[in-house]
Amino acid sequence: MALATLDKGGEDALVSIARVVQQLDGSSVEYGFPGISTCARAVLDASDEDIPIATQELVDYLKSVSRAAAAVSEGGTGVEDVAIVESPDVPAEESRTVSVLHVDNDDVVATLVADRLSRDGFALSHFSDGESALAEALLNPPDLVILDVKIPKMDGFELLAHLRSSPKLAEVPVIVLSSMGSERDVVRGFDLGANDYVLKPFSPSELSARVQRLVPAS
Amino acid sequence: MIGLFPTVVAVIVFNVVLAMLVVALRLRSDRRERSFRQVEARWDPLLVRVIGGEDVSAPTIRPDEARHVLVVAGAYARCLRGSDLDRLQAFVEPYARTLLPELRSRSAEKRATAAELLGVLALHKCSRYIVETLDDPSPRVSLVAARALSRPEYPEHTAAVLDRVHRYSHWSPSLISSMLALVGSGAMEDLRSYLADPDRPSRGRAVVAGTLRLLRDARSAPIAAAALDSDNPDLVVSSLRLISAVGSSQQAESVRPMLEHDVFFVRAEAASVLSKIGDPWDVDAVANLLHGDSPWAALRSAKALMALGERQMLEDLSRGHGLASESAREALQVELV
Repeated sequence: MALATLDKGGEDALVSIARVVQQLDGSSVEYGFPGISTCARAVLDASDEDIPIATQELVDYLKSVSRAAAAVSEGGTGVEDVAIVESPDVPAEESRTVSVLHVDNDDVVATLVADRLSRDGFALSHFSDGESALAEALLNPPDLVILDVKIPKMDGFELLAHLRSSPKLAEVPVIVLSSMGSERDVVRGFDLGANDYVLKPFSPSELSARVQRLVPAS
Repeated sequence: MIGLFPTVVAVIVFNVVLAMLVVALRLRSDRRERSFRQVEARWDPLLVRVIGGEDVSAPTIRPDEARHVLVVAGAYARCLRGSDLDRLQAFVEPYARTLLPELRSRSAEKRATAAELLGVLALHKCSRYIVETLDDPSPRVSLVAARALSRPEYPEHTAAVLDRVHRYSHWSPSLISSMLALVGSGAMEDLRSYLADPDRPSRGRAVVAGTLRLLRDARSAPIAAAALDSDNPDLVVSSLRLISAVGSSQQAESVRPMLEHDVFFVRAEAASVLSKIGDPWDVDAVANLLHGDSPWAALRSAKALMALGERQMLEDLSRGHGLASESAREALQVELV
């Protein structure tokens, strides 16, 4: 069985891979590849934009599965070959998903931001308080941070100051997304090193455009 | 003993009935909550996709779940603006009218919720009903309607809201001023007319002066100067603050008599305003407040003198005793900080 995907990145590629993996999954029960079923599920989830998955990561995974499939085929199961054919004009490193860390204790805002940014190809992680967001940022430095000011444990300005004082995170672009729109608050945000300041109520489309300007999605 | 028996039985029966009533109410509340969660779980992802611009072939909202869906949509609408909000409003608008009967509910809570939801989801279609709600018997419901109408896209409703401002006397004037300021520049004409009209309630004019200050409307400075004739000290102070924010030396002549006002906080505010728009020869009049009976007016006077460049006078005063010296020391300390 030959398996070909044109990996051009983005949602369309994920969906097309999902379809192919579904077909493969039909065979996998017969030939005993439980891992591929998990993979198919993950890809299907990703196509609903709940769990963004780096396409390259998926391709690597499928390659390892294809080796297993080939081994089974040598055992005389009837499968001739499994191969993943990548599009030659898309270098692998370009498909890395841009990671965005979002800090806001308002679930509605979190949902809106997550939906818009994942649609636009960003990998989003969400935290409800400043302390856990800072811990995560130090552990896994994101490509961009979106933060609210009124958040528990450590307010957004304090979090911003911590980010800027950390050598690992000092250069990470930060967008403040807040309902605190007085001149004093906005100036304070920029003084602390924010790259942009967006007021609530906000337009998720506009926010995404501002994110794209700072860190273009892959 | 025998006479006590019926009483005990009656108490037990009463308690049992009460307990059953509590359980029944709790069950009803749980059922409603469960029903809301089910509707939320079904519609929340769809609404998010609508906001995201996806072409959703959503099922029709059933009449019995329309209110719940509108509550979920309202939570999103409050966070949104621009085209994302437009898409959500266009989607739920056909169902918004199901809230109209709630505007006539016996429960003020329900009327307020309906007015608020209609305001965020379908104002351009239902503004007539929300304007009518301004005359709701409950001032709180009226205020919710006023808040719903105070939007920059709809300055034409400002006059209607201003006509009811006197109803909101239970709320802080600064809260009402901020609400009216949300309308922005489209409300200026109505606001100026209101402040200029001596037949309007003084409290309402004070609120409006606060709004014009937030909007930094320079054209209202002479109107504020004219309002200083009012007998209401709150209106006078609010007008002085407006002059301080947007006025010029042209209003100083109207402000100077306020240094002699009977009410101490008017005198204090006048000193502060003159430190910004006054002339060098206002120093003596401002300094007189240092020797008055109000510590508050004395302190504001000392700070005004500092702003007028009279540091030496304050340093000389600070070496003495009494209210004037204490105020001078305080002003010098503030300057150091």
